[in-house]
Amino acid sequence: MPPEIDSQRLARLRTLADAARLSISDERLAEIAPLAEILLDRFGAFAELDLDQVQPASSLRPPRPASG
Amino acid sequence: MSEPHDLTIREAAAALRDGSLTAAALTDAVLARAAATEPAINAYITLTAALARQQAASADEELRAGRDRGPLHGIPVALKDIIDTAGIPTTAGSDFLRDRVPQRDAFVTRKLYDAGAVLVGKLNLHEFAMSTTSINPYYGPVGNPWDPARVAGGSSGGSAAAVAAGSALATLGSDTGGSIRLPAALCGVVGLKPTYGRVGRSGVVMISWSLDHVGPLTRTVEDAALMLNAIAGYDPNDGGSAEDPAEDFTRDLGRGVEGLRIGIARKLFWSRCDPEIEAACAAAIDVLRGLGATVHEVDLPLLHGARRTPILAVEAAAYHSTWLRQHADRYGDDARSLLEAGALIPGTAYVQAQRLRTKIIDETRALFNEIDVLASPTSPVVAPTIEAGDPKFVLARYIMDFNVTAIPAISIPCGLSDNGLPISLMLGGRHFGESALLRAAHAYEQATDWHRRRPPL
Repeated sequence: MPPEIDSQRLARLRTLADAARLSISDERLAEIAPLAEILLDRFGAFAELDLDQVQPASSLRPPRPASG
Repeated sequence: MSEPHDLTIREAAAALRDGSLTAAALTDAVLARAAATEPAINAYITLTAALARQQAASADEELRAGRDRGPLHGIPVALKDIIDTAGIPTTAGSDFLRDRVPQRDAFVTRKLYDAGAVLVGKLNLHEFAMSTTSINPYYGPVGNPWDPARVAGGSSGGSAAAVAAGSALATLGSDTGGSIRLPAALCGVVGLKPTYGRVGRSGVVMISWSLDHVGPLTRTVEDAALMLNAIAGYDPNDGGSAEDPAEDFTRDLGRGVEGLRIGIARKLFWSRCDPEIEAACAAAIDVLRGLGATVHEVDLPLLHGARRTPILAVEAAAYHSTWLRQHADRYGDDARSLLEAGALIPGTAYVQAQRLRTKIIDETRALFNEIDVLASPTSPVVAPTIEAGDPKFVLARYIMDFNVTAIPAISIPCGLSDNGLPISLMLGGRHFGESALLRAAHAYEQATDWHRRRPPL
């Protein structure tokens, strides 16, 4: 039995899936909604932080030892 | 003397040199132990008995001829099955790669061979190393040696279970969100995630380029240092590899913890913890305090906002994008859900997460001007049953942050629960500060005997 999901949440995930060109059924979207929404909601938390002048951490540049 | 399969690397290395043991006999003992325990534990996807016996015979011959490659010479080890081994299947615990046989060794495989290690086999894991239980839909669940009806933890479940069961003296695992430390904790062995960049990853099936680490699982802290000595180093084929000079990670092990500053980030790493585990870890910190360490309450405010970061899921979705679009039905539920969720995250969210990560790394670096190690439970609960699994990722509550911050971290046994399951303490150190981290863990180990406990298998 696929989990229940309201139409607004489903529409949001459908828009993202289409943008990603991911072929996925509504039932699968409903199943992954809790995990996807946790990951998406992190973005909301970041929006309140001051990231001015901050560059992304790079996978190609390991952190250097702290001094001392 | 312990049974040969039960020796530490250091003990076995001494026995190989004083003539009381040969690599061939040691390897036979480990293979016999694997035959006895595998029906219950299922730690291995592939056993390489013929290769192991051949390598052991060569190791003995070299020692007799006076060629000594060091502490790992003739030591039976095993590799998580995402680490490439030329001519030996490397499945990543997946259906997709079931028949894949790499043509080249991974960087770390080659390092272990050069150090004289003997390869016993390739170890079971969570499918594509993507979650916390090692309940693998294609190769079966890994059973915990302390209770085979319980999970071994993941994703390097086979790597931890084999060390605990005695079917390898040491193993390698990988750690993207805690996948070395968590199974080590649930199986009562030592698990070390080095600093990001310390150990080369070429030839390892990736989950997340910016979070993946390779490291050892062993019976003692000293053995972890010996394994790190063998595998650390610059890897020209890994863009994340650091060009740091080689170190001897055993160098500081005996120096004790007098004056060591231990940080406790209570809100982050001790919240919603089983009281029995909290008490055992607090007692472990008291042991360190008794040895001369000091304890300080600290916080990492930015990390609160980074929990469940989308970085891992997005990078994994990128790595798997072609397979996911064409054959999503060939993934098990856990891997498929993570990949599909990752595919939905907008690019801007991913970049913002990496920008936040920059600030978190800076915050962490500053914290380690005030403390030397960060201490916490490794897991808030003991190993759940295979039937229950870990649907809400409770097992991962404290461990992922150490991948985001890229600092080294080690899990060491520090107790047994009332129902006889391992409890472990996690220590984190400053970037490229493995020596100090190992020193603290070793001091605790020397003052207690939890690392000597073996499962009733």
